[in-house]
Amino acid sequence: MAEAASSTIEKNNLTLKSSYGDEFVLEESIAIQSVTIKNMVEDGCSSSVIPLSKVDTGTLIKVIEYMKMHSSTSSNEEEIQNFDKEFVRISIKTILNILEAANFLDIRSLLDLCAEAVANRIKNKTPEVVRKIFNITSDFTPEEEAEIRNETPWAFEGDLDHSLD
Amino acid sequence: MDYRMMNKIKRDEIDRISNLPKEIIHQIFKDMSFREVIRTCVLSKKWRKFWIAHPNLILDRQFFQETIGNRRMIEYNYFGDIVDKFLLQHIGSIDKFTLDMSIISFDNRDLDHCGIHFLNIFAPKVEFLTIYKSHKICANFLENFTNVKVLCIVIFIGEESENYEQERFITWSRLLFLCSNLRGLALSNSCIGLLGAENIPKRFPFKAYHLEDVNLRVEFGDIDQVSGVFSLIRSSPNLRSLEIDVFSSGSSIEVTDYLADPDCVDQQFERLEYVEVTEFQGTTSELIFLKLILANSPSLSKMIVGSYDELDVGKVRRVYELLRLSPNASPRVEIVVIPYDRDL
Repeated sequence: MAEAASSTIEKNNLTLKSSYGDEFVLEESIAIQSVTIKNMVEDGCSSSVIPLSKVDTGTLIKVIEYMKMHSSTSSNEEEIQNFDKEFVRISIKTILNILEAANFLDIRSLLDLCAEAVANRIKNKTPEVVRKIFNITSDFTPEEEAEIRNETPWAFEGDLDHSLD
Repeated sequence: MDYRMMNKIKRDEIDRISNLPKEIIHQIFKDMSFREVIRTCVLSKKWRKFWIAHPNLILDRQFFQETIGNRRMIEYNYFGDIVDKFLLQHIGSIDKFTLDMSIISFDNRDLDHCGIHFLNIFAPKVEFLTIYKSHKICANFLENFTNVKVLCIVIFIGEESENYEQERFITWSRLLFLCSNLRGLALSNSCIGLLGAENIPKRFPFKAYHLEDVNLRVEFGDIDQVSGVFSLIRSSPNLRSLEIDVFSSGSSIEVTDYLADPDCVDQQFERLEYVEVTEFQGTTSELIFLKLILANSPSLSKMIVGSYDELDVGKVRRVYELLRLSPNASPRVEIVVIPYDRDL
């Protein structure tokens, strides 16, 4: 038991600790949007700091921002929609980090939001562009690639988008 | 360089997506078209087999439309091979499955595919199942779709019906027993004909408690089809919407006798709110059918009858009068009879 923690933290607050060791204090009612954290609270593991070894500081800040907005009672549906739209206007790398965190923390709506945002960026793009967006290096030889394309030639036909954005 | 910096640089350079847990990647692709999913096979070796475990297999009209592209000659085998290849290569569980080949017209079909059997084994979670003019369906086909909520089967048998030996297709009773979660059901007349290969009881032994929406193409001259459909309605206490598309009718004394029997309907269709009949041909059987519905559906709010193109306006008007004057159980029902419109 961490004595310092138990004496300074109010009853309905939780402390989340990122993989870099940064700590964030958050109301329990907000934090339990994460099913993972909710289960920890119910199992009585929350009296001390909750270590999130898979979530880095930058990502945790974004996740907390999201949870705060979505538990706020003062914002209406339209405000939340606008917030969500703005929230995913970030680099694909950051979205992927949040996506992984949302999966680990089990926050369904955040997972859906980020998955859709990623999907929108690669929709109807050529494989070359998708590789660039995701930073994927092809490990096929040109001959191998041609052969694979040839297995399902119809999948590569039509008007595919060559632009990066 | 400290740990933090190293981590940051590593994160900037590496291929983040390929190293994410598989379920997250499937999540990203869950609403994308199947062509989009397939295209990932060329990204890198890690992605080569991604699509074969993707849980949504949506081979719908859009898929076939895009796949046809600029091809002029469409052969069934070309698409049959594509579909079979997917089904045979696919591993893992399938959550959503659609196979709708209705945009492709075939003359000569040899639909004895083995793919469906393969799907059979791996698809117990499927909730939405559409099979549209594509494959032959065997009796055991639905055995593993016990979770299906919306089922749409349109099969096309024409002169090849003898290929469907009766015992090879599922019966009504078995369908309702297997798919007890069914909420929506759409079937073609060939399908209903095959389902009737049993002694149709007045009510099926298993009630379709969840069934709300039914859309059927029915041959009104065929007693097995009409009695099958009626037994389905009797066995569906929560039916709200019934759409019937009349298939070339012709009169049959057997059917009119069956429907005119005072014992034919001995219950109310409590929840039925909406009835729509299309291609209505004005036969006695169809009229008795509609009158029975009117007389026994206390919640009915709308009945729409769209007529067949050879039904003249005078006849349409007479049908309307007959229905309007027919006893009805619902005080607020609105009856609409629409003449065939050549401009539509």
